[in-house]
Amino acid sequence: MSIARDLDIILAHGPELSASGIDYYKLGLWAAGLPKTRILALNPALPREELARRLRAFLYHGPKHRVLLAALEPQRRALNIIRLLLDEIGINPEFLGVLDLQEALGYLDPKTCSLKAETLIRMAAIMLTRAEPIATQELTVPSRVLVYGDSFAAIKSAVDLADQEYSVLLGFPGPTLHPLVPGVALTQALGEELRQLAAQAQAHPAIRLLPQARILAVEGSAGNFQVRLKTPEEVLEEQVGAMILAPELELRPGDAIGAPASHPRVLTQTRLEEILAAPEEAGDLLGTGDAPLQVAFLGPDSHPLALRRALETAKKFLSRDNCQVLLFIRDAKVGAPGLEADLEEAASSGLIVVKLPGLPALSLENDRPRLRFFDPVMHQEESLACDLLVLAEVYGPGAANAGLIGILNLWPSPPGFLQGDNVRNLPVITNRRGIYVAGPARAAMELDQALAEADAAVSEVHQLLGRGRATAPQGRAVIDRGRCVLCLTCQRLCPHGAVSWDNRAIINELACQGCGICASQCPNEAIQIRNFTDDQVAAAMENLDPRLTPKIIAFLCQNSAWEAYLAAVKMHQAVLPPGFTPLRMPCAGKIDIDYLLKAFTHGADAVLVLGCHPDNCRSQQGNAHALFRVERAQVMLEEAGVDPRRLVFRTLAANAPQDFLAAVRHLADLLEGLKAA
Amino acid sequence: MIIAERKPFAEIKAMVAPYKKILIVGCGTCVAVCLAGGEKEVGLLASQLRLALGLEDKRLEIGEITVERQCDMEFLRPLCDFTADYEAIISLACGAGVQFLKQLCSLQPIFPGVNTSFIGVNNDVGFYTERCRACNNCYLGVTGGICPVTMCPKGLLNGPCGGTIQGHCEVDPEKECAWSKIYHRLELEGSLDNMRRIMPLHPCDRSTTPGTVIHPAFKKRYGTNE
Amino acid sequence: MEDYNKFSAVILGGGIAGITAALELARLGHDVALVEKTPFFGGRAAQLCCKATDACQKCGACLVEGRLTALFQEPRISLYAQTELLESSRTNGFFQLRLKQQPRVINPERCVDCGLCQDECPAAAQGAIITTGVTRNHPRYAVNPAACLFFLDGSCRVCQQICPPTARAIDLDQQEEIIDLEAGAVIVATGYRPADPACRPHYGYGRHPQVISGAELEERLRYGQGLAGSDEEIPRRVAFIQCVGSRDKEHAYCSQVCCAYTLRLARLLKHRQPEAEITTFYMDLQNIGRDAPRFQREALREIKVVRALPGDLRATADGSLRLRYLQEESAAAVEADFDLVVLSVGIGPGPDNAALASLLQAELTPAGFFQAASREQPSQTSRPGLFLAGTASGPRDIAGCITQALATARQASQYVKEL
Repeated sequence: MSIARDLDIILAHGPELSASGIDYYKLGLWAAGLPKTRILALNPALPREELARRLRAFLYHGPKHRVLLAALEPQRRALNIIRLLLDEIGINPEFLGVLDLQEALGYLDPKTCSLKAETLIRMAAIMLTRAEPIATQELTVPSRVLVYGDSFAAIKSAVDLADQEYSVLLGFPGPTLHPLVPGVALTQALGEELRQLAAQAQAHPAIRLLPQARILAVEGSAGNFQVRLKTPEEVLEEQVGAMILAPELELRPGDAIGAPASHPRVLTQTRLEEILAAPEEAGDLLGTGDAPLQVAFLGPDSHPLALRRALETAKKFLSRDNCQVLLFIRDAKVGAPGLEADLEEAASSGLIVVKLPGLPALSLENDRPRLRFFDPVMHQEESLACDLLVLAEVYGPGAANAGLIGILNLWPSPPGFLQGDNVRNLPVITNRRGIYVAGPARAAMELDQALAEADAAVSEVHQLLGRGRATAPQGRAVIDRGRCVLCLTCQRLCPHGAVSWDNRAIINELACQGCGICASQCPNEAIQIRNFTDDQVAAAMENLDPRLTPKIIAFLCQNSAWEAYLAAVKMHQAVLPPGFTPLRMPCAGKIDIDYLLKAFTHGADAVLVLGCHPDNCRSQQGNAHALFRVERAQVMLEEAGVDPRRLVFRTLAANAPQDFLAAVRHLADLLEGLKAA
Repeated sequence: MIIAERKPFAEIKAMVAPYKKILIVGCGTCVAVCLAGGEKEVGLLASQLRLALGLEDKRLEIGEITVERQCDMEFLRPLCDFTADYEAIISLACGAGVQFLKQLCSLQPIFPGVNTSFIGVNNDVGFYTERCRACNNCYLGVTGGICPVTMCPKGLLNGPCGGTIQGHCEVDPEKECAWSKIYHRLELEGSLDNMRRIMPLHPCDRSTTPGTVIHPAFKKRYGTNE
Repeated sequence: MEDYNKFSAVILGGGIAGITAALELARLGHDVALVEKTPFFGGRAAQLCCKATDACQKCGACLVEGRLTALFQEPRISLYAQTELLESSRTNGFFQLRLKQQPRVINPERCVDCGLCQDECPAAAQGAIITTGVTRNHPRYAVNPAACLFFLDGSCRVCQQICPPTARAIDLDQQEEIIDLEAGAVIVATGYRPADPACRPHYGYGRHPQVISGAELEERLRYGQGLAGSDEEIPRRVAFIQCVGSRDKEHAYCSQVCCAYTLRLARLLKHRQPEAEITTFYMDLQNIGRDAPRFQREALREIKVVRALPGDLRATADGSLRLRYLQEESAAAVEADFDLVVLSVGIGPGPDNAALASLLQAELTPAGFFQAASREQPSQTSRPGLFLAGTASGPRDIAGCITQALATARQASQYVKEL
């Protein structure tokens, strides 16, 4: 029978609901007629004590009940009831279904409204009565964390974690901690706070420093990583609960312009800073006395940090008389606090900014670098002899990063950096729970942002490890060891590195993110994700109401499509085809190709699969897998004599309800056309 | 392991079209691993057949069951009562399993749902390559771990034919020359001498079919003399 | 008033920064109050549109939805909508805040969001009843006493009468409420105001309907074009003009987000209408996204960029807009015609910053944003306990707001624990 177990339905309403087109009393009577079901009508505007009293009386078995709360906008209007159910009566969150009846409104024909409301309730009941509780387990995990890198973000992470009673391994590739303050001269002394931070990292009893360390291999997953590290003395095998990656940026030469290998007057930005810090050793490079000096800065336009750094040294020349300073850039990257003002100030102190589509040509004449370029302002070819030519450097990713991506199974990122370019990861997470990235591991950025990210990463570690006692769901991702054939498909496909094996596949529930890619791909149906089980989906599809047509079954990813669907339904112009049946999925990756074919065997007229846009999937690949399966299913449908156009795959975002409606409209129009034909 | 591919749907449909009660039996070992015949594929084939043979046809019944494997009778025997209800059976097991299943259900026609392709390796999900021809005379130790029976398009057992073009075979330019690779492997290993060893010819396709292997420890049990 | 509601922190501003900070503080175990001037939560980020072409363009606008859902379900966060700060004082390190909440005419427990009140309101065009497209909010309608005829002169009760009798959700006799809160910390997350597109008068904003601001384009793409996303209305020749309200005497800073939103919007338009010809007039192209060279390469394949800000805009006889600019290569004045001109407006200080700063005794930068303690401590002000989050202190993109708000929340949490 479709309603598998005892169910208690609460219709939360006051008299205002009839204003919206649903005959609430009739609905209640119908629901009361469902097998194994009891009904309570409850006005959410009642005082809290009264609500509590009535709920306790109705749900006298306490937490054992499965409760379906149906109302208009229940998350807002019946929030007090939800809180009472969860907090005071202790209903297991998996046993509480919250159903918004909004979708049943808006039909012109009140009979359709009722039918739709009934269907919504029945579908929710079918799914809810097959739900199983998901327990919480407390796991003992090492309260040891590996912080890798020698940036201030790494140092701050290490110190903060150590202060919070974690044991920290701070490994870095160089012989000493040598963090950069990006955008500032390398020779500039550190501020007091930063100096103290670095000192704390050196001296903290809970931090073990590992200089010249390299990560060789990492096994395991969240809460249980086995890291193999190589230092000059030894190879270490360490067990850590989590890791934070923050390898420092490296300065690289900017675009090559055919600069001679070494010429005393062609300097890198770093070399210039060194000279300015010890001018006595510069000879006559910096000019003598009042002789005019021509300084050209070439190409600090990769990032606002490069511009900031160049302007700082340019200022030192601008403050001298008889000094002409030029800045050759393609674009002035002023997108950082204070830079526009700095640039303006430098310009009013005499800085000449030359904006070119490409860098000038360089040659050496009479022992002076000479630049040739087409001046866009004077509109003529110019030739400039410089006394000093300063080549810009780029703040690039650390050299060690490239290897780390492979070793840690991280998703591909912007070249050299460690975090996939996906907004779901913001600010500091990666595809693998327990591995966090901060500051220069992600991008070149200002120090205050890097430190804020270190903060965020430490917070994530603490949320995960709980100082040695981690909480994880138990029974959310379940492998039937009888069915598992250890084909390794799940382990290979898991984007989160959560699957290992002994003689059957094992899912680490602390690392698992419930996307369901494994479950839907398993060739022997050995994995179930609660509570989006095959059982529930099959039961929902078997019980489509034949009176509501056209029958469009929609599989909606909860991270985008489901939100868009809710938003679309609440905009009062949106009326969906009466037979539209939405099924929420944790990720598009959970959508089994089996569901797609079965939908048609159960009489669906069309099937809609909606997932997140490429590069926007929380599990990186869920939408790609969904697309592969849809395309395969379309072939199989055609083989079986079903028009493959009836199965549609689209991507959309949570804030694009109009994309959702466009997809539904497309299908509705298609079905109209097929009917007419 | 054994790699198989599901037969084209049109072929399967043609095989079972005359029947109204069809059972699809899957296998949970090799064909499951290569995503051709496990429980999921059984379900997919059943759905396809239901759609193709007519959803409205009330007499159409398609049963689905998957067993651990079909090459052990112990796993098949429990199916005895089950299979009796059906007019035709599709087995998604490899050729061996199909035959064993047929032994059990002599009354109904058994149709293979997959083509057994080769013995191969599982490179990654959905990607398999052939590595072995079951020639019963393995000398991979001599050829640096590369099987010339399988990997050489000409099946040469004793060294290159001289028809290598840039490391690829003159017969099939898509394929690499197995003997070039064998040479380089042996070089790396330090066993180039193996190139001089002559391996006796042996028939890959046996003239006496089907092959039988009885483990030496069990020869008495099965009463064979050696 | 003696009876203060006590919170660990009070957050002023219900946009992405305020919401992020509130959720983080709640997660850390604190009771917080989130105060929002308008009737609806979500702020400006919730008004932005998705800019995906074949793939996500990583603008971050879709990150607001999930946080809004979490916000409304978090029991530790008390929400005060249509509420503004009146007075603020400090005793023993705690803030005493006096807030004014506008009359809550529409009852959230009875309203069914049918929209009849707005449909029938005679002053709806003046904004007497406003609604939001951010559907997580409930009710999605609110009465604005500043424009409502009842509040102005008692002359109208249409909404109350038209509200369905079984709902009876509207009560115009509701009074405004004075609320007293006590907080250990206050976080200013009041956001920004887009720069005025008319600040460059020669672009004719307000005189030509085909000249719109970037903010308006976002809104139209999010809600307009019909809900079915029909694209016949995307014009063929589109121009974006950068730095409107940024990098000038009055706003001596780069707004950091405009190059990004312009090029992403341009790619979206091109994706929807492949025949479109899009030109971006700029001064300096800023880095966009985390792989800036790649984004620029791909964008410039389909969008023309011109390093010049047009000097002149005129309407032509056939209804197009003609822009005149100096072409770099030839140094000659060039003219080009467009069907739509989008002024890429920057991030300007919030309209209430000055008043709020004086109430809280906070400082403002010369540009009018809230002054942070230093560039190294962007979340703190010179007053201990008074924190900043989001664009209240200066331009930031959505990702930057979220990161910073999380840090602010943690610093506030630390501060409050030590009080």
